Amino acid sequence: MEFDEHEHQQSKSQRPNIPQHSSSPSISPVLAYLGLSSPSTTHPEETMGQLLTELLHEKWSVRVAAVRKLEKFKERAPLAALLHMLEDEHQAVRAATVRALGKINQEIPLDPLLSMLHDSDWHVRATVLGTVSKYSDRVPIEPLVSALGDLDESVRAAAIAAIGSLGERAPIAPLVAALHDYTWTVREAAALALGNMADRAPIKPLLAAMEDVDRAVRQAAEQSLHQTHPEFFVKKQKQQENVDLPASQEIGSHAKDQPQERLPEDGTARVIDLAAFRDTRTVSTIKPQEQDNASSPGPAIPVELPEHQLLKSNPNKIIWSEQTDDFRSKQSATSMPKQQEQMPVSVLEKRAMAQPDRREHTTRKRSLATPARRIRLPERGLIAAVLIAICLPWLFLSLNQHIHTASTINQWAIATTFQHHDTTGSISTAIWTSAPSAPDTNCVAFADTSGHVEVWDPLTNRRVNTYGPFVKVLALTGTTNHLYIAALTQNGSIQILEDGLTKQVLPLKGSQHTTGSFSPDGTYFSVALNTSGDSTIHTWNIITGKEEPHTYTAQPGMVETIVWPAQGSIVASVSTDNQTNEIEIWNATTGQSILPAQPVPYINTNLAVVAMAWSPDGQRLAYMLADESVSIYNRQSGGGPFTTTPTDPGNGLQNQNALAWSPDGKYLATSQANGEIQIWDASLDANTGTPLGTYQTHNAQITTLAWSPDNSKRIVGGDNTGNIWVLTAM
Amino acid sequence: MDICIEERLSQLADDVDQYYELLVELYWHQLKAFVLRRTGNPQDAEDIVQDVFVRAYVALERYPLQQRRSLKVRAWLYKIAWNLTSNFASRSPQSMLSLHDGGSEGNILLDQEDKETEHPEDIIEQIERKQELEALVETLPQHYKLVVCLYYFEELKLQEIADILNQPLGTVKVYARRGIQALRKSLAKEINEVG
Repeated sequence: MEFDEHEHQQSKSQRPNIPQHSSSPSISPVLAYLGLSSPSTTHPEETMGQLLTELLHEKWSVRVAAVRKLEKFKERAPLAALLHMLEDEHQAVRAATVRALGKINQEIPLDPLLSMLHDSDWHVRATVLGTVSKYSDRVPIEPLVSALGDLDESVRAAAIAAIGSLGERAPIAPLVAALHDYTWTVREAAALALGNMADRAPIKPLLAAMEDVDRAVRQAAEQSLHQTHPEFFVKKQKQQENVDLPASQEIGSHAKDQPQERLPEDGTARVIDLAAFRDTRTVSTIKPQEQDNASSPGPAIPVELPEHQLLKSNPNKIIWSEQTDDFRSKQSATSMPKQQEQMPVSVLEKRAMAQPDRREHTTRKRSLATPARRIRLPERGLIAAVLIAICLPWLFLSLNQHIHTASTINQWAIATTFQHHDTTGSISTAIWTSAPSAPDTNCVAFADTSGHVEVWDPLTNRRVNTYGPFVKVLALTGTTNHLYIAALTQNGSIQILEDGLTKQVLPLKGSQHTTGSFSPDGTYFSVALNTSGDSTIHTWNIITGKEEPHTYTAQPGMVETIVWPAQGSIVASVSTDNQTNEIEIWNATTGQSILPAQPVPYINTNLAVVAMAWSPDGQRLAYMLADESVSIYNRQSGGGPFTTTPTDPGNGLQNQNALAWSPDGKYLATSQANGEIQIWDASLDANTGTPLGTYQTHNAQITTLAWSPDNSKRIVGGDNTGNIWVLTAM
Repeated sequence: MDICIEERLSQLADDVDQYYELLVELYWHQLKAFVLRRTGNPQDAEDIVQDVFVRAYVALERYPLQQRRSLKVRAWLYKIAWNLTSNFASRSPQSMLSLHDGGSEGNILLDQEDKETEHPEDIIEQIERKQELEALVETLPQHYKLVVCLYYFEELKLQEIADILNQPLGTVKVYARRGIQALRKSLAKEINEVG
């Protein structure tokens, strides 16, 4: 962002109703950037002609101010001139122009605006989404959904708001998915947008959002729930009134003498609430950092709790949410006043996402904090009957919804659940692995071109480990227990590291052209040195530390890529030699090609192979050529099931791209030159070769993709500008 | 925050531009001082605060009127600033300074602008006290230090700090109390050593 301190001097007398700050001799540059440093009304003497002249002014701040003034002409504003300003060199001018186009009450063409969703500046992209949302009757949905994959959180939040403005046209799934975004601004926007969906808003995700770690999100979700399902709170209040007992009443006798009062008047609502709450509880828990609440005092009476009592709020919540800020006067007061222990509260107990192992703990806390009641056997039968009667239709509806979601796979909602910018280089490789300190955690490990390797936990957004720098990282692979790194060192040797500790130094001298690849289980490492025309591929057994006896030497030219399958020892390698590009498939244990020798012992391609990956069963090899066409070679049938044609070939041939198989082998994710990711149905029984969906829009060239091995539909990707992110399909 | 200011902001909520200009007037320097304490580099702090306010403007335009009216805007701005500062720190950790390095000096200079009407000797005494306090705060463990800093230097409410840091209020209270206790111990130790 550029700001010129000298361009926005302004007298405060021009802005009435603004308090005079003694330390502000000048207005903040941000006001000039947004075009707010000018008077809010256009001077009468400023004609449109003058403003049009100012659009050509050399100072960007003058151009911004002119655009802001022109927008006030509304229907008389010069549309052609404004559209021309979309191509201004300064982002502040472009953003102001985009904003103005949403204010002038004219039938503007949307295509020029939508094309600016690829602008390099986040402010421009976010403003585009704000503007097109004003044309909700004719804006296409797909660009808005694609913008949900933007790397900037403000853009994603704006995309959510734009989708929310579509009314009946708005797809619900992306909004629900955005409730899982890793930034609170996006989750808050999603919760607010769902409030515009009227009765289409699903109640369960909003209930879950009311347990978000962020208070703004919780409040937005509660507000939306009030808007869309006010009956929920009415019933809940009734329920509270019915289940709350006088503090002095003896609980056991109450249960015995007045059994009918244990059920609310509207039993239906209670059962639905309970089901929804149970559902959210299965995906929610408390983050470790929230455990301090566990130390809060509460009545420690272990009792058996009727299920409907689970909706009764945790008294701890009252203390933390309603207690005023009295810490300055009473710093030692952390205990809860007795009279507040039994106060009801209108929202459910706060919980964070993920980590189901905390469920027992939250349940226990709740039961300890709630008065005891015991239900006799006949009453249990009655409750069970009501539960079954109510839950069955609800369960049926839920199941139907689930089936519908699964069948419309091209409607996958994608959320960006992790993002990091690596400042030391572009991302060369990214994989899924586990942290040595937490083997059950799915972490992301990536290497950059400056030789650094980092491990991040995408759930907590924390860096777990860093390694390097190395001269060059040749390959990474992660098992359930270890992270293996193959790297070139300063003296040219090839080093194999296990969790950062040197495991082996190979008796070979590498070069900058050295190519290597691990087998996914970390057992083997294959390396082609590519020095002086040598294309010999050596394979080492990492466990034994010995080189496999059979090297592969048949492939001519320079080996650029070696790919191991998850199972077996059939390796694929790509070489280039004088404009010919060859894919060889060979057995690493014998050093022999397994391709038929006729007509040629290779898969010849007329274009460079820019990405390649084995299916999880090691039977199908997917590869992408420089024109972005994707082919799949089936080892058993000797051919594809399909070869695709690029949907958007871009403006030239690519030299690097990425593709990755889903762990079940049904889907293939491929990147495109424009930064988009396409998901293909690559299952053997649906070999149509048509894309199922396109996600992720940013300008950078994607260099690596890896699908999470745990079937969680998460894809980690990296690009040549150092961005690394995780997309999660819902 | 001053209740009058809060009411006034609420009254301006239907005019985003006016509302926003008031926000910039009120909180630009506060936020810059806050970020400067974290980065230690005035130019970085300026860039981050500018980013904070541009993002705030985009969000305010997006928010429904009712949302703007009920917004606890000061804590909200701090939250955005905290997030962006944290992002900046993760991108370039080498450029982040501790509380005491340079940041406090810049902040004092900023604060000094607000105290033109006071006597110079009072200002100097306040600066010295603040420097001493910041030096002591600097000795605290990181999690106590941040909470104490937000509570005493930024004068945020504990609930606001909890919201900004995404921590439970109970945790923030415990951190603040323990931080103060540690500061008292350090202070008592210093006094004993001098005495």
